[in-house]
Amino acid sequence: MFFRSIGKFISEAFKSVFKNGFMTFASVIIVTICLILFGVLEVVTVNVNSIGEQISGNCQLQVYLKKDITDLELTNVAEKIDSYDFVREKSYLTGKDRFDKFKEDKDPETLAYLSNVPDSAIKSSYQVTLKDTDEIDKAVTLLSRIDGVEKVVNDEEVISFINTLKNVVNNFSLWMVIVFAFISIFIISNTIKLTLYSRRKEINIMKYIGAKDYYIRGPFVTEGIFVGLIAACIAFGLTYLLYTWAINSLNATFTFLNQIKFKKFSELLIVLIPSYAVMGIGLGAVGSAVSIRKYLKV
Amino acid sequence: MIQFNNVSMVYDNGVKALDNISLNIEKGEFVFLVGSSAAGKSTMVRLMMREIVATEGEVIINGIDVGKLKRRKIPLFRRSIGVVFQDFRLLPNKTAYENVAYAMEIIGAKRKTIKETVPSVLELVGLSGKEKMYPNELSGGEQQRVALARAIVNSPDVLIADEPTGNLDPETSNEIMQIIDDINKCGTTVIMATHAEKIVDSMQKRVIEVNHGNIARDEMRGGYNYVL
Repeated sequence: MFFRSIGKFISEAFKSVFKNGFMTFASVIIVTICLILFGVLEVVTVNVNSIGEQISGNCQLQVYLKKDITDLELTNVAEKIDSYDFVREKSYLTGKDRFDKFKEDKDPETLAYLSNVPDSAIKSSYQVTLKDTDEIDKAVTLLSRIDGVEKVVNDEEVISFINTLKNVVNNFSLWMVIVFAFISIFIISNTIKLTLYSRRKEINIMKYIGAKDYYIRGPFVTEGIFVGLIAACIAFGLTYLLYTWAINSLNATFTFLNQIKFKKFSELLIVLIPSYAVMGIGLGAVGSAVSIRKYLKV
Repeated sequence: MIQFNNVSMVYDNGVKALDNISLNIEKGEFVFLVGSSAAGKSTMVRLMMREIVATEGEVIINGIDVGKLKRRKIPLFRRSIGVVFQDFRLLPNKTAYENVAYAMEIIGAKRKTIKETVPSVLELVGLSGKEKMYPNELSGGEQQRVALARAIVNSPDVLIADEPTGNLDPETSNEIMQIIDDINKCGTTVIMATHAEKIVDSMQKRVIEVNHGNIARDEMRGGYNYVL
């Protein structure tokens, strides 16, 4: 009988969504706002991690070689660097290449001064690009131990900032998700309780007639699911509009941000769709099921 | 059919609504429960509906001690009794047809059976042609007829009526009582709590008077205030 009843629950819930228009509207608004807040947190977290990867993708170490390094040692250094999986790419710069690069944007007076410095005074190096800033310490340690390497220099400030930013955003997002989850459940539960309070007599009557709890609860929980799904769709649409507007505004206002690739909305779908659907349905269904219990005790 | 064996009821606030009452109602009887307000009539009705559980004693309906029913069995028990209330208690968002049909849906009746039975029951209570009307579109008397139809659609053994004419004018009250009497004549046991003196006097049925939680009077052909 339970499975036969599911069709009944769906049709009852569908009718009820329209008949209790104002309360349904209030519930949808509340759930939509909660979902959008979650969505904003998710989008910010995903983008910060993505930006972190982009910047750390350009994170480079300078591996300075010994002044009188032999060809054999040079080959060995190259092979060793290639063997590490944290290395994205490397490029070899002779002392002369590095000195020429350094002199590129210098004024004539400085150039005249530098003309007294022989090319041989500048050490050659490998410029090593890492895949992830998280492995910076390990990379510095391992590269320093290679025979032929004199020292390894990293851009500590940038790397430290990126790692700190990523950790802060991830931790902040996690805590905010937990806090928002509790607040959302509380708000949604109270909204649904108000809805059920206005229909408490109806629930009592059903109990007096002899309806089982699941038969009474079914349409309300189904209605909660409908509310959650409607809210998820609205939240999804509004998130798309908000995100597009935000990215366009940021790029227009802060032109240096054009160097950064924000995630396209289509790339966020894999995160947003399941989380909105699960949260919308979950909040609606669980909120209804929990809130109706009080009125079933007749 | 219905037995109250040394039943006492004390509410949480300390009020003693029933004091060691015992009575027996046979199958097919028509019984009026009369008495002043707060005498204990509604308490007896609530005990029979298993809305509350007696503090002492047993309430037995159709061989079932309703006080000992497990929570999950209560809905099944309530389906075996029909109840009508003073305030009708119809589902406001369902039509007259749907209100009556609901009582059949909850027991798993097939759609075809429901489609055949509900219109005939509504005709029985004089509401043919009003199937699609909502409670707020019906008069008080019509709403009570729908409530009666819902109460009897599953052919219960017992019909409990708690002040069914309390919100109705005398003429409509008589019409409702005629329907209830007809239901009783078909074999359904009827227990009706009421303040309607004229109805009790005119119908000449068994009268049980409740006074301060005790059975003050139990007469086979009683009037509201005296034996007929």
